[in-house]
Amino acid sequence: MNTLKRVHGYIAEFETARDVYHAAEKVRDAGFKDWDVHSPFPIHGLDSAMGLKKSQLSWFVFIGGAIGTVTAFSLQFVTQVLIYPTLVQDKPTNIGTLPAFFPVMFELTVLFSAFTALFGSMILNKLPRWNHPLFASDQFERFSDDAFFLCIEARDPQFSKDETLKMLKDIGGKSIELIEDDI
Amino acid sequence: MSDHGVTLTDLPLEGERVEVSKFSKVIKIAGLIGAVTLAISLAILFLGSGRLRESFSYSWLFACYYFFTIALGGLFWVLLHHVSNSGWGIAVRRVMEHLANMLPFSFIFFIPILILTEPREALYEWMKLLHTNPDDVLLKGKAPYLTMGFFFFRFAAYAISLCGMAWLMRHWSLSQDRTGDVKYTFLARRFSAGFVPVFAVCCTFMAFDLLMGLDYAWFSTMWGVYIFAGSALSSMAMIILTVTFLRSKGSLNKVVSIEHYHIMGKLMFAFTVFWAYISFSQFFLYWYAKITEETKFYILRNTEGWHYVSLLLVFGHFVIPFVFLLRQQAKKDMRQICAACCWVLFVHLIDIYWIIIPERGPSITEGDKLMIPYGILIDALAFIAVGSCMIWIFLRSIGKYSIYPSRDPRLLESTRLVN
Repeated sequence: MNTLKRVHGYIAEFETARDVYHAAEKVRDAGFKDWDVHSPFPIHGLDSAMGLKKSQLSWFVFIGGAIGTVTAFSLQFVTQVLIYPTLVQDKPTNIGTLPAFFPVMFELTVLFSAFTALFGSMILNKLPRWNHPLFASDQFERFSDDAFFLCIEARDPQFSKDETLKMLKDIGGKSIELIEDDI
Repeated sequence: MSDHGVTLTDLPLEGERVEVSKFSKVIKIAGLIGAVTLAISLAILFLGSGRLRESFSYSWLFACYYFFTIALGGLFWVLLHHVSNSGWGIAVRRVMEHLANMLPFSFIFFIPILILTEPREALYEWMKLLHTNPDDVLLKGKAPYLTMGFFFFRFAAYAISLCGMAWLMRHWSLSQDRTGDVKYTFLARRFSAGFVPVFAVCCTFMAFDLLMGLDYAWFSTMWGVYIFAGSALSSMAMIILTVTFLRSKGSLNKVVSIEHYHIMGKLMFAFTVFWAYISFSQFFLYWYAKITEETKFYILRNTEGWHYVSLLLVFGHFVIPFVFLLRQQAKKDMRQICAACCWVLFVHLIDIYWIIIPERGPSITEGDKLMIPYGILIDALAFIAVGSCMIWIFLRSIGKYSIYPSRDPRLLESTRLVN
């Protein structure tokens, strides 16, 4: 029985962080767009070696934090000044009681920015998901242990079954594997 | 490319000397202005009399304490660098060490207002009360601490410990430049762990004695850390400005990159928040509790014109630098970060001014007036006098040794910094 499969891309293994770093520079210079590096630990400077731009996440977090500040202020101001002026310890019941609101404003700013940072990064990374085509490879498990992988995806316009394979060999990739995904 | 390719062969063993001749004009001008204004200031302090002399004591304390906090922060950054075993800042550590070694000079500047009876009694009311009204209840309660002998003993202890630590840290660093022995790295790390508590005690009690003591009846347990927060912040601003100045004169270019600016900018940002956190906590607790002897500090600083200065601190010292430094680009762009540094040094000036000067009017006129009319002029005079002398000494000290620790084992790690 024939099953249809979709080509996900090539993975190539590298032995050290240095190798994969320099390989990434070459893939970047070759002009690939849809590719990634998988490493057991963060490699400093890899983002520029891969030609990645700064993440857009910080804007999400800033907006999230600002919403947090405004939410906390309005919650307290509306309830304790506008709707039901609460006289506590001879403090004013107008905007002059603002210092009392600060701790909550601070907390909600932190909470909202933390939530946007977490959920924003999940959305940008298209998480959560059930499976990933790369898990079809047996050797790929080692990306969280002792191996460094570089993956060039087939959806990249420059991808070619033979030339990409040759390029990966040229830049020093080992145990190169064509990953195929069940449809 | 992140790897800008510096190797050990680019970094000679003897390091790199700053050519002081390149900015000898700045030094000369600072020296000249410093000499003239210092002469006038000392004349007022030693020969002056009456209200002018008393008012000027406050101006002098303000100017000295401002530059003292910057030098003090320099020592903090050196100690923190060693105790946290940091690698990133080795390229700029010598600048911090030079800044810390301004401490002896800043202590010398304090001496006139402490040894002369009239200025010190104008500043510290309790010293006058010791012989005019020794039975004052509050004074009696604080008697073991507020005595002249113990006061001078403490001042000497701060001076010796802080200057000693600053000298030792630079001494070890310079010894390593000569011999290349790795043991100095370990020595500095081991000792700085013990020095940090000493630093904390000196920094706290110095602020208690010289600033909180302006009103002996008032107290705040957060005072020490409040002064410390401002001093670490402004000191980092000064370090960034000095590094930029030296780079513009052609030094440090091989070892310092924009990555260092990014880290220093982040530390400045962190301490902006820390300062706000501490100063707000101090205000908040007193505002909430509303106990008369505690709130007087803030009541005085919210009277008439001082109210606007207080508001300026809230926005200028926190909101503006916080929002500005929030973006990564602001910390990675030399012009933006230097603008932020100048602003931080300016608002720190306002902060110290706001701490010291409001006490002056009520104290000297015995509650009659809030402000001394010509006050701002003599404050400016004292500031220019101490400031020019400090710049004169600081810029001259920079040229004496290599401008980065040339034989530190982790120098290369620092020059190739990526963050």
